[in-house]
Amino acid sequence: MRTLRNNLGLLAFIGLAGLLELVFRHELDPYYYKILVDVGIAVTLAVSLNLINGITGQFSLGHAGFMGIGAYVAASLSTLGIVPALARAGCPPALEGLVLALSVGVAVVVGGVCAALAGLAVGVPTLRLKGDYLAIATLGFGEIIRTIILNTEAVGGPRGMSGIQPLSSFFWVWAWAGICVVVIWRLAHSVKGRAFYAIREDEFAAAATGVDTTRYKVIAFVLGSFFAGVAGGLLAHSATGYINPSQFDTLKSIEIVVMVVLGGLGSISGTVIAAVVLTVLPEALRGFADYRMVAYSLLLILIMLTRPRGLMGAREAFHVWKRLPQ
Amino acid sequence: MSPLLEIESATVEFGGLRAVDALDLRLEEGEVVALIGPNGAGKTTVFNAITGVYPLSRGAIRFAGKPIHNLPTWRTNRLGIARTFQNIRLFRNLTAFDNVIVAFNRRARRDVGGTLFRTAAAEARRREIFKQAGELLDWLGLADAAETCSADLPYGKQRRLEIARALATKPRLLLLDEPAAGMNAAEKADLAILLDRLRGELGLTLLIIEHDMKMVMANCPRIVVLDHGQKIAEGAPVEIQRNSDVIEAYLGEKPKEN
Repeated sequence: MRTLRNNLGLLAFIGLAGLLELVFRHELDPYYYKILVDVGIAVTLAVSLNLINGITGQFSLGHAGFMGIGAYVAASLSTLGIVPALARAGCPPALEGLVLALSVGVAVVVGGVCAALAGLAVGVPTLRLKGDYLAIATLGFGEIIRTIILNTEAVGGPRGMSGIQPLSSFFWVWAWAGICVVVIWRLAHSVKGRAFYAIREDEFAAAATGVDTTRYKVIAFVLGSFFAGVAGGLLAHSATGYINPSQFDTLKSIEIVVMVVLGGLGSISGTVIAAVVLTVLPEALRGFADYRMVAYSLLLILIMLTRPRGLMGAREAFHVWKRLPQ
Repeated sequence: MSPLLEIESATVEFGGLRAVDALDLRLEEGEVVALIGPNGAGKTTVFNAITGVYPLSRGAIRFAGKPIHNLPTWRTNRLGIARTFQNIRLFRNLTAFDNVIVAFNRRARRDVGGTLFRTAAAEARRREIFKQAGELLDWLGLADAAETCSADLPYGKQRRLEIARALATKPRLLLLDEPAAGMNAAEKADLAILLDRLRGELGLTLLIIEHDMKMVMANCPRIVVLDHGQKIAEGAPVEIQRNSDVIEAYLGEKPKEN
């Protein structure tokens, strides 16, 4: 009973996402619907990178690479595998939609798992590097992934992949965002999970306190990569049904890093807020037409000048509420 | 009975520099031993060698009979060696409470499902650990500092918190690197009482690096003196005070009388 009660929040959130989906699908302008989907994907990306960069303090610039792996694996599975297989098998039309949705859901998870495996393969050798060196190594990794995709004809090479089933609804994207936030929050706030913060603060002192630092760094990297891969898979299956390698370049990695830094390194709620703001902002600034990105950059500079440690610093939103005079 | 800690002709070299030179040291369970010597004598290097930071170029270190000189730092801690640092190394942006919680890493059960779903059993275990952490802070007089960011604590409390964090790992051997450094007289008196309780109530074995001679002479029945990485004397406080090699190491050679 208690266990159920402890998870009621997440279940309610997913239920709410489902309800909103029913409403939004028909009532909401597709433009706003797309923004909401983008925001959900951005939240998943930023919170998963926050586990690596903010909470564990391992500066990674390769998040878009893991996202790309997830996107291409999931898209290949669904476009080249699941859809033709369903067509051959001749599913009853009443069930076809459900079967397709479920199998694409599995494809997205498989994409995440592949990204996690890549995270393991990259993390084990590179996590002994520190600071700038790790950043450069992960940057290189991201570029390698992009270059591999660029040169793989089977997935369209530089032309990208199109005709992907547009099944990433508001519901799926936000359900995953909710799961990502809850998983990372609970992990980071568990007794063992405090080791992630300890590594960021002082790796040597953490080791002297009995923390197997390598293990925790790898866990952070692998789990962060998993959610990046899932976010990639969701992006691939979003309304346009089209991906290309340039969506997963270093600029995308930097965009996610900016969300984490702006939200406050280590603050999960801050990262969520920053992901929402930074995804909505460029759209909201369309009124500035040609000067849109200038205004966007100026706002970034302004925020960093007034709040150099990010919107939240290392705190969480409710800590701030607690401090407000009652 | 083998000694709790046994260092056997341990040598640590950095390039051409021999920081610790063929050091022999044995600590029996429950002993309180001071490691003293002039600056640069290699005292902290000894601590770092024990905790697996530096490899030995020769010799061996055994803890409770097991060789430990090839183990990584975190493994030495799990075997029962905890330490504090000369220049306090707390997790500065974490609260005092969370600093201690990190040190419960070994005692917390690995239960991924329980953690992610916050099962009733996992939550009960978490509360139990939180309770123990609270009690530990209380035992060290840090209860009111629990929710303070550790970097904001006054200096004396930071030193205490480092000891609390070390104790949370349930060590058998505690290495204290200049615990009295920068403390005022009242804080030093408190520290002396604490050292007594660490040995008396917890039965810990202590190896202490300290420059405050009054502190050392009053609290450590056995003293080991290091100079240029070599052990130059070992014995009870009275013996050390009279030892001419020790006096020379600290004050330089006696001027010749003529």
